Amino acid sequence: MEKKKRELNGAGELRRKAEERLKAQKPASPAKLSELKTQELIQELQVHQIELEMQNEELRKTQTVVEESRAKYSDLYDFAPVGYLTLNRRGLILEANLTLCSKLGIERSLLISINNLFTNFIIKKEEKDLFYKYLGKVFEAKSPETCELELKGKGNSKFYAQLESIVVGDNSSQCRTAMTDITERKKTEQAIKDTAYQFQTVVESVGEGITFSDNSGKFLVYNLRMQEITGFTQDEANNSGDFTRLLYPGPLERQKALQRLQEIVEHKVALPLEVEATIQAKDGTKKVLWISTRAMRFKDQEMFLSIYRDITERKKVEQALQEAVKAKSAFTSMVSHELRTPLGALKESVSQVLEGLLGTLTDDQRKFLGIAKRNVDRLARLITEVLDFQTLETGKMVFKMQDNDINEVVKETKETMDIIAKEKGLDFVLNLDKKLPKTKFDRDKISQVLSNVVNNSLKLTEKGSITISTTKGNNVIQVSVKDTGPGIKEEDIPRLFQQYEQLERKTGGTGLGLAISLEIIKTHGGKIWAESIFGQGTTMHFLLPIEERRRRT
Amino acid sequence: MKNKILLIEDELDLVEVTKMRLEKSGYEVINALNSEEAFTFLRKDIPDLILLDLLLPGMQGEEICKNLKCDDRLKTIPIILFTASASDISKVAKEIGADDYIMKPFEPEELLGKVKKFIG
Repeated sequence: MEKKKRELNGAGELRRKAEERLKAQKPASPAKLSELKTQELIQELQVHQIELEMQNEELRKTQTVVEESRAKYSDLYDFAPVGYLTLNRRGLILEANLTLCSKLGIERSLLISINNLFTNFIIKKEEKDLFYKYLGKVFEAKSPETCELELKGKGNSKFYAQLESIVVGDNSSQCRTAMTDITERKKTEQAIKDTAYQFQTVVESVGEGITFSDNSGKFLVYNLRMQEITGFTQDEANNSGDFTRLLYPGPLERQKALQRLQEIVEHKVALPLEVEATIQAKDGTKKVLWISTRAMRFKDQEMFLSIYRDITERKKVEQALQEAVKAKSAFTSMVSHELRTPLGALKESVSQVLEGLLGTLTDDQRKFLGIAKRNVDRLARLITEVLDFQTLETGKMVFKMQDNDINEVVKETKETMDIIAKEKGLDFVLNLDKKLPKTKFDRDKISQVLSNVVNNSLKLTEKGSITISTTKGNNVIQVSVKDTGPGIKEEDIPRLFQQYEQLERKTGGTGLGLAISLEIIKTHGGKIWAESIFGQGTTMHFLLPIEERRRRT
Repeated sequence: MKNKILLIEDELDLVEVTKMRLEKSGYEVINALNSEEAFTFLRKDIPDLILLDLLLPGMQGEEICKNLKCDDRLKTIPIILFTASASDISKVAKEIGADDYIMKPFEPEELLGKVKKFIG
């Protein structure tokens, strides 16, 4: 409605102007015309008028279309998803769309009117320089150029923008620029950079060589430690064509290495294959490496992830240790053998004289030869213990596991020791569980343990009693030897089972008795320990598993 | 006739005292210091018992023992090993076919007991 009225008004105005113009052109009154002529004239004028009106209508329509089209393009320019601006050679903003204005947080009228330079919106000084260089390039190149800058946005915000500019038309004093907000892209890029940095840091700070290679043998990851170990750089490894040829110059080791890779590929197991291999570093030194390799799919390709640990030093130490153990073992058996032989002659000589085989002796002679014989025996016992412990320690001791009755072993031990108890005036008591099942153990060895424990008690107990008891526990048989001796201080208990430890020097042992007992009980899958109240006595306990249980352990 | 014991042992002191002990108990003792002496004696005579040291110069005790035990003429002679090394002597004795063993240093009763066991 509004539009129509305006059109009519417009038409009225035009008429008035037309009449005025006619008056000016023809001031004289028209000549007399015949009626017919007049008729014809009117007719023609009417046609003319209609024609004019139609032309006018056509013009108005065209004008509307043009206006609509302009509105559409203006709309497209102003509300495009990217910012548009026109800059001159100095970087002055000549035009800008609304998207750009809203990004920069400034009214368009303000942006254009106050002769704004684009550099006003650039935060970093060095980026302002960068922008001028960029602008220079744009006007020189006449092809699209891009650059990335950090800009001041709405309020106090900042954002990353990418500019793409091109000089258009013949007018080379202006360039059109599209500005895209790339803050999100920058964030993603930074995140990728951070991840890469973290990955790099981890890979480079571990003590192992790490490689990640494809099935053509190209290394995508090859850390510095790997370079230290092998002496070859990543480029050298990649340019070698076949790195195994460099690492394993010997055909045998190389064959093994290739076989390993083949195995990993064929088996397609998720578990890494771990091996020890000898490589030759770039400088020719041989190194023993622990290598763990696993295959994995990456971008539809078979890849290998390998970890290399240099164990050359460890191997050397291990070997030295093995040799030392061997040497110690050889030395111990040599020494004990060399000691035993003369001891045999010594003991036999003393025995024969003492027995009177070579003539009668005086009481003093017999007494002193008795001392000699006792000490020869003691020396022999010490040597046996040292040798025993050594065979136990190296695992060379053979155990004869057979069904045995622990109560019988206890009774036998009491029989052999009874005489000492009697001499010292001690009560020797047995407290046996008669219903104990038979269980598998080495009779001689367990007898040795029991003798050892009882012997210790007898040596140290001056009055009172020694009691041996047997009981059945949960799948175990427990043997306990209780005495009324001096007892052991709590802090000394842990030392009891250590080799060559002696709490009482005067007892004249090697300090190996309980260490040997511990080894024997451990081999049986049992347990041995001491309980004591200082000043009141000691109880030594040991457990032997009942057979079914031991088979499992 | 006294029972004859061949003592194959190279430690002269030990030979002397062992010989004395056995002779006092009524045995005749012949000593061989090594395998050569032992086999020289065995070619012309057959003892009732052999006491054999395992550690000898030249051919070792184990070897001597195996040789004796596969010789038809000699294999019935009881052999008691005489040894100073403790590890697994019972196993070794079994393997090489010895009849018994005595560890050095030994108790007089053990020596005499074991000898008596074989030759009364």
